[in-house]
Amino acid sequence: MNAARLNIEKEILEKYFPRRHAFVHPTDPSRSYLDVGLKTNSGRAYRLKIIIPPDYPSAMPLVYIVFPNRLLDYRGKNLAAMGADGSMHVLPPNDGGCIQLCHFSSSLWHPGLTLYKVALKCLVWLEAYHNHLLTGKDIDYYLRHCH
Amino acid sequence: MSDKETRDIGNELAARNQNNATGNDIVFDPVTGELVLVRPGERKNPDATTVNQIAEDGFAQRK
Repeated sequence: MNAARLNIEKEILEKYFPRRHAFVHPTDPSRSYLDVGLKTNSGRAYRLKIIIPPDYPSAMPLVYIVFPNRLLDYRGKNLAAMGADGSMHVLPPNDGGCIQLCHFSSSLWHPGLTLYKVALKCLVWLEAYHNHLLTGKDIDYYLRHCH
Repeated sequence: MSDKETRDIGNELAARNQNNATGNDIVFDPVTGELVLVRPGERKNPDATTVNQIAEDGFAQRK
């Protein structure tokens, strides 16, 4: 990500997620990611690792939940063990077993979207996940698939 | 923060997923850092971001 785009991203995140985010290795395209903390209505805290690809914003970032490092479904099964699961809107976990979230579709991704929008989309996923924990309904009952 | 608020957001997301209009908005309040359901006639925080479209755009399918 170039310096001008980084400044735009920082400005937006500082406005909407003050003291809840940090860029890690922002000038090293091979290791750059955004660490962001989110909170659901149920009071649970989560940390996301949003990996910024070298050709961002042309390319879409990947998102992992790094805290808690193990998420269970309604039945007590580890979500990471499901691998890619469309009904739960998750993609294959990373080597550390952190689940990867579906967010924007790569076909719909465009450079006008920001890391802030990605984080918001993941917050919507987290609220849907908490409803899944309450009701047992799959996450795609709450969140539609891209067409 | 409560299960009721969580369920309210969930019911709104489910309604939108099924194309049932409610007239409510889902907004992100930067003061609390949470999603909030705003019903018709209720005031929104002017700094809040409406996330209706983000939810309605859908989520990526399994690759």
